Amino acid sequence: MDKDRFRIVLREIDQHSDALLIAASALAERHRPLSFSQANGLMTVVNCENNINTVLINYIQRQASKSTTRAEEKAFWSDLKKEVDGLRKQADVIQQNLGGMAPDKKVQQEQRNQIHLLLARDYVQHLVAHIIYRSKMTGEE
Amino acid sequence: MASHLAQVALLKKVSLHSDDYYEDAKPLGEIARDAFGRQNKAQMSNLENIANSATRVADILDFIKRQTGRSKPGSRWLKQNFGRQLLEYLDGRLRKQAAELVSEVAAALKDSQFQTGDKQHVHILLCREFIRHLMAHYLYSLNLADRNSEEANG
Repeated sequence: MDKDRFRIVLREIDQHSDALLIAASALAERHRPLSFSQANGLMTVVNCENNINTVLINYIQRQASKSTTRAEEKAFWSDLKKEVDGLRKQADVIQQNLGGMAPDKKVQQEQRNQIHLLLARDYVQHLVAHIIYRSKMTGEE
Repeated sequence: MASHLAQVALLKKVSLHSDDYYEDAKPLGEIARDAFGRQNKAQMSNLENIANSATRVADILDFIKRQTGRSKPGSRWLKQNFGRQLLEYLDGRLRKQAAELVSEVAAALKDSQFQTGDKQHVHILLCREFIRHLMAHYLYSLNLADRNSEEANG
């Protein structure tokens, strides 16, 4: 994705930021989720990883299926996977709104994955902020 | 995106509302003085910088949440629930007001070109106005407190 297109994508994502914030806060409210370090770990992975499927399958899904994970934590991770998976639809909408799609299907899919990853980063930023805030407000820390 | 005329009308409405925030920001400015004093002035400067540079309200809210979550009980952002009160004001009252302003202008100009982006833009402008007043009250009451203690000491 060239620089100009990337900037336009970011602007489009900005328009979704309120909806992402509401969804991420709701997820954090529904569960008694992660400790500070786990939350920061999640943010680091999402920010450093360049492939959305690696985030979804190698990290989030793995966390949910770990044998040492508590049941309530498992529920959180599998809900998070659903939410992040669901962002694929928003990525599709953004890609279609932008127009000028590459003719090659593979390139199209790659671009959609990039948008999906940017949406996931935004979602996780809001999620982690709310987890940190909530842990102090409810004294769960 | 709204028309140029609509954008001018929105900016005018934002400045009119800004005056209302002056009084609302006063008590929070005093709490901020007690919470941060002079030593942690950077916390307030960071808030103002983020408000002025962010392109989305969500970034300002995330900053407040993170700082509140990192504060020790009864101190800084948790002092007299400063972080929570600020969040409720920015995310609650100002979000509602931004929506009202946009619909008022849309109705007045019979302009149907308004989009989510316009509402978000107005919301961030309102947040900046409020935080600007908050910072001013904070700095003023810091100075006032210093002068009072100087007078008391001698």
